[in-house]
Amino acid sequence: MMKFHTMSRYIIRFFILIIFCGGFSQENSSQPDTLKIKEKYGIRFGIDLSKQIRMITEDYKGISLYADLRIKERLFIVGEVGNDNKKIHNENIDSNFKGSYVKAGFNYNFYNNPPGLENEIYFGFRFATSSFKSEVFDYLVYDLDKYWENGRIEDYSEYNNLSANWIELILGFNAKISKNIFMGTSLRLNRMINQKSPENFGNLYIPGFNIVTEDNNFGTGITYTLTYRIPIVKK
Amino acid sequence: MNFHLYSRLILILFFLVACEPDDICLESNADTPNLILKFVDSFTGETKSVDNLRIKGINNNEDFFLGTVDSISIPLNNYEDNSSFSFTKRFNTNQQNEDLIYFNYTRNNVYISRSCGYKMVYEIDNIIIENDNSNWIEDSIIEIRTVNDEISHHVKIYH
Repeated sequence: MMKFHTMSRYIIRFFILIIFCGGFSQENSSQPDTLKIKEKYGIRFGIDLSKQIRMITEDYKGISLYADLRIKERLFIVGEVGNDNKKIHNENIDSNFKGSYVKAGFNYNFYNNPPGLENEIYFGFRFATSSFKSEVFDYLVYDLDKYWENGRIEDYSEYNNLSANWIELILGFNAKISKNIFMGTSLRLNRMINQKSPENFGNLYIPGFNIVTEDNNFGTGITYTLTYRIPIVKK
Repeated sequence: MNFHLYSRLILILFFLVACEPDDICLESNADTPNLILKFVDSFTGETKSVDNLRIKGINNNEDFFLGTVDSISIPLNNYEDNSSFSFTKRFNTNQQNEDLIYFNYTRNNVYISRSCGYKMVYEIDNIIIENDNSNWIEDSIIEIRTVNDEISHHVKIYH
């Protein structure tokens, strides 16, 4: 919970910044919409910095790369690849989950930019697939009697070839911070389609999907991206 | 709608996402099963209670049970493949009689859930009653070898 708060603080600060920027730019660019401004199309590459923040605050290692291609005025095709390696120290089980994921889909920018601005507020959709492995290091036996000494039992087991597929609904935000550089954040609601879990353990965490809660097909995610645009076409 | 309003909306959504339910193991989930013993008369084979029985694990400082019963469920040690108990009949009387009993088994873990973790189930290999020339326990029979629930007794103790 604490870690989450630390992260939200970052995000809130970021938002406040964006809100101010947005406010100022709107005032500055209130001239009539007569001039047709050339809009840049291009491919953008980026990195999800939230992973780097998590590497400081959690027992976690990972990277996520992002790319999008603007194909219409408001439509972007998006691809994401990433790798997560997350240790989960639970009250009952110490385990680790590591693997890679791919996400593909689109973003639709529904924000009407004042002329000359290239901010986005978008809805996104992704199809995602993850392939991973899990490990159990030790566990506490669930025994209510507690007559015998009851500490953690070290009993290593490894489960390979696990997988999951899910979809993501995204609400996100991108602001141009300088020429061809964008900063953005997105909020994701993940809905599991299927997952392959081992016989005698559960998928407590799925790379790309994040924490899996009990009896719940939904998950959430936050990204905090920095992207660079390689301009290709001007329209 | 303008940029400000959108931003605020997204901000509110961030707070909603930050609320994660705590995973708590509900006691309705069956925990590690105990071994259920039933005391029977060695002549008639009918249920017969043991007077003033004290059960204590060997190497355990606490008494597990003290009283008069015709069946009892005892916890097995999850750290080892055997548990040893002292069963004393007519405890604290001048007819006190202590028998030592050893349970040998293999352990298997069973995953329950994120919040409850693992429970243990057992496969009973054998039961040894240490001969002390004045045993009150005459025999034991394993009726259900696999201890994975507490529905009925697993072992009959003849006395």
